[in-house]
Amino acid sequence: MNKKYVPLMFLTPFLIFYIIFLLIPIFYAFFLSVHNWQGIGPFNFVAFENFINIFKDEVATTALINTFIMAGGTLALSLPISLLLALLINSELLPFKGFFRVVYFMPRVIALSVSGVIFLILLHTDYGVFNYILRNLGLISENIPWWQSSFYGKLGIILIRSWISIPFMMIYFLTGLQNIPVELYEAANIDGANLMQKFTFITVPMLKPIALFIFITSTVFSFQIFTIPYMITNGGPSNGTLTIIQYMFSRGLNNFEFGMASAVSVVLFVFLAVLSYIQIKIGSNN
Amino acid sequence: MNKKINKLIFFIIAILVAIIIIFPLYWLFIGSIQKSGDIFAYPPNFIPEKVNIDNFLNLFERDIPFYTYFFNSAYTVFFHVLGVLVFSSMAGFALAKYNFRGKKIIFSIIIAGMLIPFQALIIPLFLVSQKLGIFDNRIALFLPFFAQPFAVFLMRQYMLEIPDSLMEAARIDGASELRIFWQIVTPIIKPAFAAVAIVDFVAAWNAFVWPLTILRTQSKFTLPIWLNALIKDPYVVDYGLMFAAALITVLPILIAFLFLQKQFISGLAAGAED
Repeated sequence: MNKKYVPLMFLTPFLIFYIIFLLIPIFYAFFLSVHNWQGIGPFNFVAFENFINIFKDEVATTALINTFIMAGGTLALSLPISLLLALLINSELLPFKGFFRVVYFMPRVIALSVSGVIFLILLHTDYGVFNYILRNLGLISENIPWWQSSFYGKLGIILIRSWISIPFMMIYFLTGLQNIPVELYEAANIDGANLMQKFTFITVPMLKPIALFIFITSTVFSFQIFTIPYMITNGGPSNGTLTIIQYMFSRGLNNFEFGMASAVSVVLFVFLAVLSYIQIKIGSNN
Repeated sequence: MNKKINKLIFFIIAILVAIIIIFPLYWLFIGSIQKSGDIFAYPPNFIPEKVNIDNFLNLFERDIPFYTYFFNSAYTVFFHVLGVLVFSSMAGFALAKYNFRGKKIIFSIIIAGMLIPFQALIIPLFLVSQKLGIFDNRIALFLPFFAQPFAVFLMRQYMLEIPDSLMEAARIDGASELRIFWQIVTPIIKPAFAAVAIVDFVAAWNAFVWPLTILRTQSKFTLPIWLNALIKDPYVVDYGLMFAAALITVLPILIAFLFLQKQFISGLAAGAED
């Protein structure tokens, strides 16, 4: 065989799948987003009408706001907790580090659908253990209607998402902590710095790049939130936990409004691809 | 003395955190071995009084027994992982060990694929699958995922380390390029195979959105979307049954995780689901 064709022989099978199932779909999404199409018949070119309609549609803006709240809430809750857990596991004072690392990582391998089943029951209004514990601790006097309220529904989903997100954030913080040169702390000890000073002037600045990386990765991850609210509340009550993905899903697959659904895909793609690009840039600089 | 007390405090905090993190899984486990009514007992039973395996027995007796879904999941994951390993290692090999025209551009295009969030692909991928005639077909659960840019990136990275002299020596001995790949390269990059296999195994086993999009016939469902169907089914209010089903869904991954902790933690730190 001609030598020139050898690399092509190795590359072609992958490229065929890549073109059919990645490149064509993404271009197709862009194409559909500027057309009106119900699954059959001709494509009607409508320019940016679909995009304008997304922002005019109250349900879409609700879904967008919900997604921002749930993604933001998850980040706000899980970033500090995962940093604290990483500090705890990294501390020389803690015995059985390996054991705790494994236990803390466990939620990461659990299927989202399984978490959905567990937390549907754990956060049950009348019989849920969570309400029972909160009441016995005297934190609440009446049961929280987790899945019957759009406020508590979002909060419940933030709690579940945090349980899922903390493990991977913690592992990255741990890597960041372990990469800080010991000499920095030794030098600080010689200068008589206390624990708080060492944390503020060494640990925090040294962790900044990894924190930014975690922040972006989690944002990309959080904006794709779908499974948990879809299973537990199905976006309700009154769209209180509707996510942008579920909005896209029902527009496309239930209503066959493929133009509208694709416009949502495109918005999501552009937003998240820019974030991922920034992340890769940061990653390659460090 | 002071240090000993601090150590104890740290240990107690770590144990408390561990209990909080593990509790939902513990609840799943004890829920699956209790009668449905006992799951909702008040005050709750934190330690079950007796073990009851009826929930698991009931899973066999449903119209579609649980092993149908289990088989669907296992079948999907097997081809999912196999395809990704074969195609990404071959592509990674071409990109790492050969020089050819357009190599840089092809590599950039493949890497750009890592920027695409899967959720943005659902709608067009659904339409493409319909065109290909694989809608509501289990093949659609793995075929579209054979092209994983991330896996190619990782494979290439590992293969760059392989010295060219090793391949040259084999060529002088008259080995074909395919044989070099199979007999020299693949044994060396076993760690890359393991890493990709673990990430892909977990992603495929736990996958939710795509099976939900592409499957309509219940006998073709995988475990996660069967759980969804159970939750949504107004005629099933048996939470013990649901817990047993969820436990069966999570058990294979959990067991694999406990055996391969290190590989799981390093591999899965980066991955994400929906």
